Amino acid sequence: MSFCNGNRPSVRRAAALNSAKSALFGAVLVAAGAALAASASAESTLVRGMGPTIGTLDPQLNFLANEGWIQDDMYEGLTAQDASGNIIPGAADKWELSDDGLTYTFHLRDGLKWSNGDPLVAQDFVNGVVRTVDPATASDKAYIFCSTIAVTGVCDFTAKKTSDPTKLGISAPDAKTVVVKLDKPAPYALIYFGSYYGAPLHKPSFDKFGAAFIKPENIVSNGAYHMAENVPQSHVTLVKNPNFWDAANVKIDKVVYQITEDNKTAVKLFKSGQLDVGVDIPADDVLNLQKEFGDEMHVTPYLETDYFSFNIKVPPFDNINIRKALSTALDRDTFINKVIKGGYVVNCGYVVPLPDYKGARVPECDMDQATRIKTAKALLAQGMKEANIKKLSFTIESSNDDTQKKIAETAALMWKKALGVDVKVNAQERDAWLDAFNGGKWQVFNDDLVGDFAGPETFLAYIDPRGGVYGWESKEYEDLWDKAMLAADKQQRYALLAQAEKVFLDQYTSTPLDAAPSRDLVSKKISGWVDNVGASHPTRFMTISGN
Amino acid sequence: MSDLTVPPPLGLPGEPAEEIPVGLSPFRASLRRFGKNHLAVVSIVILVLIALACFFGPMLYPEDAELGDFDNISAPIDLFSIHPFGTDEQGRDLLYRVLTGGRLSLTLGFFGALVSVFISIAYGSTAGYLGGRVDDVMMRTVDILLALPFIFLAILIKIVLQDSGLHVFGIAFDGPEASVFVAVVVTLWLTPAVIARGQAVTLRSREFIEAARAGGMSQFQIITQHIMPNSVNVVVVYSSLLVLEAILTESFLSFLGLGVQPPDASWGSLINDGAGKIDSDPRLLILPSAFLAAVLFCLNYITDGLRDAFDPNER
Amino acid sequence: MFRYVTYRTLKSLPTLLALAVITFFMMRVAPGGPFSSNRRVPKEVRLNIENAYHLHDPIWEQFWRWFWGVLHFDFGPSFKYRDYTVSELIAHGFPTSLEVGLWAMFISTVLGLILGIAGALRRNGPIDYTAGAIAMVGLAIPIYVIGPIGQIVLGLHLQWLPIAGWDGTWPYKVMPILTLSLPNIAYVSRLMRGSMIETVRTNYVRTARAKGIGERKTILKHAMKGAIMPVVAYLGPATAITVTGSIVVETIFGIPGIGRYFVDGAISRDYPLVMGVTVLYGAIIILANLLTDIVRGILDPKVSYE
Repeated sequence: MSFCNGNRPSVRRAAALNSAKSALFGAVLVAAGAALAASASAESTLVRGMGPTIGTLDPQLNFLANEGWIQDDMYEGLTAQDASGNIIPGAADKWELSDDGLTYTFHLRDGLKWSNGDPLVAQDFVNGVVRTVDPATASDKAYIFCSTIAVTGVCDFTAKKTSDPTKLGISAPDAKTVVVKLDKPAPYALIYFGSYYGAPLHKPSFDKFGAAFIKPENIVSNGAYHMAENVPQSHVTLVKNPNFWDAANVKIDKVVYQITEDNKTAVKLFKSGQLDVGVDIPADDVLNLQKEFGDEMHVTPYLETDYFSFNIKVPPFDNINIRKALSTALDRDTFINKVIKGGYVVNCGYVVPLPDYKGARVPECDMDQATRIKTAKALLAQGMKEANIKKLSFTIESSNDDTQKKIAETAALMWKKALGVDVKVNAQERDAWLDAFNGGKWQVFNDDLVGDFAGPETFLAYIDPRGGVYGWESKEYEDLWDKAMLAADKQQRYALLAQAEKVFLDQYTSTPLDAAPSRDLVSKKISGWVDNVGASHPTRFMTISGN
Repeated sequence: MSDLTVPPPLGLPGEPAEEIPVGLSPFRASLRRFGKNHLAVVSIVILVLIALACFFGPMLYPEDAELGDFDNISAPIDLFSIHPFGTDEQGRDLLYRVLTGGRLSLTLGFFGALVSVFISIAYGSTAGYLGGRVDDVMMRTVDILLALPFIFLAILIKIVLQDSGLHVFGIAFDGPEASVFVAVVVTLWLTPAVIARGQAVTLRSREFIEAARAGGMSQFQIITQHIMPNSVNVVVVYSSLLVLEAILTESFLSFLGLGVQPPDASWGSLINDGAGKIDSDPRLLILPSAFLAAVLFCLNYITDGLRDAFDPNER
Repeated sequence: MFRYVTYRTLKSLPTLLALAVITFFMMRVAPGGPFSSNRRVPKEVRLNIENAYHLHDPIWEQFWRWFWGVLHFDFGPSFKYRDYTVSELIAHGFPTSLEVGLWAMFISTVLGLILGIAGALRRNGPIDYTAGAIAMVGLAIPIYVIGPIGQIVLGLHLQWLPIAGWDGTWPYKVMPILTLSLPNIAYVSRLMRGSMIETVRTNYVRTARAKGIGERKTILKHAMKGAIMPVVAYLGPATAITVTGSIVVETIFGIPGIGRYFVDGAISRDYPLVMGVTVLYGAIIILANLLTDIVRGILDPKVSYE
């Protein structure tokens, strides 16, 4: 095919890389070896399975969790996360928040360098954010700085009302200071200055190569690792960055992120020792694997909440008693613990269970099943009378993801059985499913949300009536949210947010169901892997033995 | 595409078999020959039993069998209980699920294959025999249909048909079923059409066709009376595979969310779901697969038997 | 012959164009779009992304932009794999899919022919039934079952072959090729068996036999030639499908081919990627049919080139 010959740099590049690989690794190792001559005995390699093929590694563009893992190893933001997911100093070793909660001032460490030795300065971090929000970059992540933490001027910039980046609320008054001004207080904002959202941009290589600055032969990064190889649909190889400020404490020399498109294959690769970490282990196999591998099978609560939403704009779901009846009829214990299994846990509130947040609960969670059915039947009868309908029949819109489909099907059976209502399931491909939601053409939506970080704010911001997602209205909710953002400390903030969550749950716009776990196989050889709800596992804190 | 309106060639080939016992029509002679093929006869019996079980078996179950019994989830195989093959993850009787799933799969498989075989023979014979520009346009159309991204084609068909239904051989399909049926047929008939066309190209230059032409037969007559019957044999042996292909295409459609929707099931969707649980609960895969494989093997021997019995050259 | 090939190649260009036009417009009827993945992204941000890819231009203009690119061997950027152009993705993946696919076709054709001929010559006997059953097993057990079983037995327990992965060496190729070859064996063997039985009975074989040539020779020389026609016709589309990769085999064995792009591209509405693989697939189908016609002409000289 003649047209295939037109443009095949990646094949040539892969070949060139293979031959250049040893030379490149050699050079890096010599440098690394010089830096820590004492510990550099043999090269240690960690092979991490990473799930499906990545779309892009461009730090300002990528949007998938597994792209984020690589990025967290390759880049460091102003803040960072430790092995347990706590916020720790990153490129900035200290920062201050102004009393009105609107201005963050970050102070960079001394002597920071890019992987090629160039000095790393405050403006690089500003450039990273400016490129993210630039309409020409076409990045999903722009929304973070416009709506999630509302950096001054960003929304106008993305809406093309202004085009002057110096008018944005992020600036570098000197080489070691980054100042960020927000339009409204966001006490949770620090996470968004970490590597995933706030990676710095190496302007010279970006100016020279354009979007191709992310290719392995061009890339300049500032994290604990930098990229040596990227073979589409196969693997990404990272090697230790000797110019990282904390390189002396980075124990693993080389990380191979192996694409494992089929998670059952990943399990087999782990069994055979070809993978040190397998991710996204099939939920159905967790029980067996726990028996086989014991502690190596990690099942950890995660930031994903699964729930059903009711379209309050269309009858009969504009009737709260009907919504409440459906929510009450669900036997969540049987549903999650017996049917869905795989580490999923019952969630009675909208926010996933978090270590230090005590959220609101729907009351039916604490009833026994007989009471639930009785209450639900009474509510349904009343609701149907109010809505003036004889028979309730509706469709659950679901994505065709295996677990989501199973959740929708189980709910349909449970509702049919408990209430005698007529329920259909429409499990479509993801795009059609989202399209149904966006077009308002749905009755009950098999919904989910993955939070950005381990705090209630990321969930409760999504359902804020001002965001308009579910078309509900509540002045009370908005006031509680605003008050929470100005609260003196975390404890007070969380208490106010829990009240806001209760306001939402009382409306039965959505009914909570479960929180999904992350399921990983982690080899005994690895230490420094700490299970955490944000599923943050930077390689720089790990060590591997017996390599 | 006027050739699609050609009536089906019901009594198979045109040339009568030569050595028929006195008093037997060719058709009955063929049946007698078929009856002597024990494997084929046994296969028919098994197939009919499977079909009967699928269409009438579920009626023996209580009315709420489809609802699931959440107190009896994933019950194991116990041949002497009310759930002989156990229950699935929602507590539904597994055998009941497979039998009801068979209704859709068998209907779709048989009629999908039948319609495809008919279209492909008519289309391929016409293209191959007429040759020249007609052949070109017809076969390039097949190429295009083969190459069109199937997922978008299926989505398009679903959008067009989801609110209307379809009648095939007097069987009514509702919107979703109709879109699955059409999507399956649209892809299924293409490869056999290429094969039938190849046969027709070869036949075109044979003596008996030339004789027919010289004898004043019209092109329409030649195609329906000589070309199509002689292409039938090749495609018929292949039709048992088409039944399987139709059922598996449906499973791909349900995987995409374009096929049968839960809680309804088909063998394809059950096999799809079961494949994910091959390590944790292989029953969910094995039972529907076994039914599908049994149907495939039976059909295979039946089509062989039919082919032999109706072969014009058979002595 | 050369003139015939040139003529057919030129004639295939309008077909490819028609395929491209139909595909381009058909894709757009499907709900959703390439960048509708996250419900939290506000309208302005979404619009910026879509405008960057000209998704709000008049659709004919979009087609023209794509077509103009293709004339310059540029199939555009991939929407999902944003680090790559469609040309890069295909150039990287296609050789792998092609290699695995061609070997799989070779194996299934040879095995299918052997089983089919054996069945036809020993018709309705134990050999026939066994051959038929062997061929059927490959079809009755789906790839996504036989593949993992192979991984467990050959990879995990016996450790003869790697479980998954790809570095272009033979150990990594064996299991994917064998797995991919299984379903086609049944098709080839059934077509061969059926048409062989028929050919053995037609006059010219009988005449050949009457002339006193040994039976084996007769069968191979004369019957094969006639009987293989339907198989040749089948091999056209089947090869086109197989060499463009199988998403199931590539997913299970972690092969960096292009099979996944046919499904992934469509599901994520990656319009340029779908166009790229569709045009590639269309070209291969046309090429395969051309080869089929040439082979038919060689086997049966009565069928003339037009």
